[in-house]
Amino acid sequence: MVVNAKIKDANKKTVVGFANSGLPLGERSQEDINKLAIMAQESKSSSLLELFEELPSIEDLKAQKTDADLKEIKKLVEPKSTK
Amino acid sequence: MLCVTLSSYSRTCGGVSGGISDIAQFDPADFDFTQATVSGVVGPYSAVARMSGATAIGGAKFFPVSFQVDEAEWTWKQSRKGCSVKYEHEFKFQLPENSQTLTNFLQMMDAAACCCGLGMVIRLNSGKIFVAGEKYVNASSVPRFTITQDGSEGGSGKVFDDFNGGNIALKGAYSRNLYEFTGGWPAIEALM
Repeated sequence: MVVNAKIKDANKKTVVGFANSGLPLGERSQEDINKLAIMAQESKSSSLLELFEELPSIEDLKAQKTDADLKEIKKLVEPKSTK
Repeated sequence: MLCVTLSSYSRTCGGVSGGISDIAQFDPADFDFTQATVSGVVGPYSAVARMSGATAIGGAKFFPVSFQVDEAEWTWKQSRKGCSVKYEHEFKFQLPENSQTLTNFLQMMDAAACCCGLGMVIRLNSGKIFVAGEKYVNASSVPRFTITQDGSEGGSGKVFDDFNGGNIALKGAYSRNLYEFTGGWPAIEALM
């Protein structure tokens, strides 16, 4: 099941500098938004927490990242077909 | 463990270069850094955003400082009296050419010293980024960390190849060494 954090529409133009970027939140990748959601919960920062409309648990977000990373690793490891 | 919790110190084997690559200054009242503590371990600052009410148009920015290449340095010195610990931080950098621009810059730093102090972000040649003088972390104020200009000197020099400009000195004492910022320099540049 796909679990993603979601930024409130009112905060999509907000700039938060993290993950080597300062693009407004509405222009960030879903991976970045999920990272910010983890940071918000681990830091308990009220200013970050209030940016989110949907905030899945840290465990769900980290599990999803692990699944995505494993898929990427699998792609790299699997031999390409030679038709 | 019966008396104090200790931990090991190790790093990935490899070289590390000295020196400062970039410096930016900010008003400590303008920015909020994010820091997590996981399983009792204090993490670095991982994100930074403007405080509520602070705007780029209103001047809430990181301001880059163009110093003479290879002429910037951060030093720290730890000392203690009993259990009271002090870290004296000093930032030195060279700004070439005496000019109205330099005078204005010095006056700006002197004004900051009288009220809120200066925030500093430095990127070392090693790539690590450190923060000094911050005021807000996780949307709450932290104990006062004041960085001020103190002990700068400069002059015209006497002959053609003497230095003409200022050697800037910023100082501040605090209870610990500087925290690292892991959000990357592009995150800082986006807020310039």
